[in-house]
Amino acid sequence: MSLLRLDQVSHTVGTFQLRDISLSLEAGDLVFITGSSGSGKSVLLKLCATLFFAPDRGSLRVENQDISQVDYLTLQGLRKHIGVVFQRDSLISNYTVYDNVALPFEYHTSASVTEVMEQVMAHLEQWGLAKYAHCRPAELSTGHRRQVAVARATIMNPRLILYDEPTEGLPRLFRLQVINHIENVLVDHQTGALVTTMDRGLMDRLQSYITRVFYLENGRILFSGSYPEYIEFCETSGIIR
Amino acid sequence: MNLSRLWLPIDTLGQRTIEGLTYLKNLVLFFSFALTLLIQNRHHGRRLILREVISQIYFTGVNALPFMSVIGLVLGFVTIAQYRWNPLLNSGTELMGEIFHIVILREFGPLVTAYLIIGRSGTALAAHIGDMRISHQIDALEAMGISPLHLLIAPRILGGMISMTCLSLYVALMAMVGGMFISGLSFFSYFGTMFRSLSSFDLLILLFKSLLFGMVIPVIACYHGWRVQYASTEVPQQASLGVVNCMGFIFIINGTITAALLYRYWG
Repeated sequence: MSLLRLDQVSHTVGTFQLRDISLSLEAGDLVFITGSSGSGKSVLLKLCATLFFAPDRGSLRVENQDISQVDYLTLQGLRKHIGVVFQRDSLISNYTVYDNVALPFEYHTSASVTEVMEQVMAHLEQWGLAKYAHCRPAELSTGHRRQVAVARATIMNPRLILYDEPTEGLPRLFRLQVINHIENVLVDHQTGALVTTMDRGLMDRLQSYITRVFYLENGRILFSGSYPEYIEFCETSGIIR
Repeated sequence: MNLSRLWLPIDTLGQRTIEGLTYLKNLVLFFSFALTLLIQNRHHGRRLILREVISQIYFTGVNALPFMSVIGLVLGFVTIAQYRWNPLLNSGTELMGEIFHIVILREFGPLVTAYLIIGRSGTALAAHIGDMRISHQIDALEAMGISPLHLLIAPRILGGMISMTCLSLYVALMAMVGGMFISGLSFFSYFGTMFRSLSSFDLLILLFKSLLFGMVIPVIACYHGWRVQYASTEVPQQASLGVVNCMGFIFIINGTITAALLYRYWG
């Protein structure tokens, strides 16, 4: 079953336009969206996260459901199976780390307070964040905030995870942790992952898992293919990776 | 002379009317979406919603108690003082209770409380929601399948209604206490006079106005916060616009209710 499918999608956001985007992603797939700054990677990721609801043209299907045909409550149901890690973390600033990570779990399940606490603390332990459970996001470093954002995006065991520039601005240790996490998610959980990045090292480290790479320019897909094909494309077209 | 210039005032008036009606429609839609989601998603995140309602009551209601106590005491003090030393009204204690209930319970109790809540919490609500918009926290909630109207707006409306009602009653009670100091009566005869003249109708008006004001203030404040889109400079602009509109709406609603009551009595 296709987790995410875009067919000839065009969408305008302000003055920026995404044009004729087609891609699909299945369980266990790792898809990279790359391109220079302002090429539309984050807009495409938000579109995939259904944050613009239905696109202006073309069809966007999540788990085989056409987004333009579903009502808001169904859309909410679909969104809970998609984890999104935003470029700027977007943690709820007046919630603690614990509350941020517990938020989707507490909202979508009818688990008791004890069950929520057990689940959330186990998840925080995995990320080495348990000691920061009662801190506010503003008290944490960029790296820890990104970890909290990833922990929040994965607590519901989503079938699809979207990462927007997951390693941008991170120190080496946190960067490695994020890379290991993506590997783990793909291998152990068979989750589909879509990553937007300009980080060459990230792609190199995960090259054995990459299903497809898309290169965007001015809102259009300039290239799509496997990772070796992408390297060849970069060399022949003079694009600095 | 260019004839089109003659139409300019009418054109502007028409434009403003359309803008006003659109604004009103958006407020109604904003409120009804929040209410609909509160009902439709009633099985989702009950603890979270309850926590948000309680924190809103704590922030709007409990934190405001010391300030409201002073306002209530002064309000009651000046009302009874004006009654006692007004040669036209000074007819012993016969009308003291009636005048107090008309002035405090029906009019200034809820009105003054509403204005203080607008100043204290209205700006804070608009700024908080606006900040959440520009820092993409609202997007993050949507992405998690959590409706921000359900999690953030509906509890603030509920909390606002509960806080406003309780605070109005509290201000009225403090005003009664404040009036006692200047009434020249003993404790028991003063409160006896007050409670004898208290009708359930006075209380109903107070409750009705308070619930309505408590609903209108968070709806307008949150709506203005919601309108913030790109820049942090929009936050104070929308917050102050929200406060001004809140004040205008409360004034108009209060006038309309009073006019409707007068019409019922003397119409």
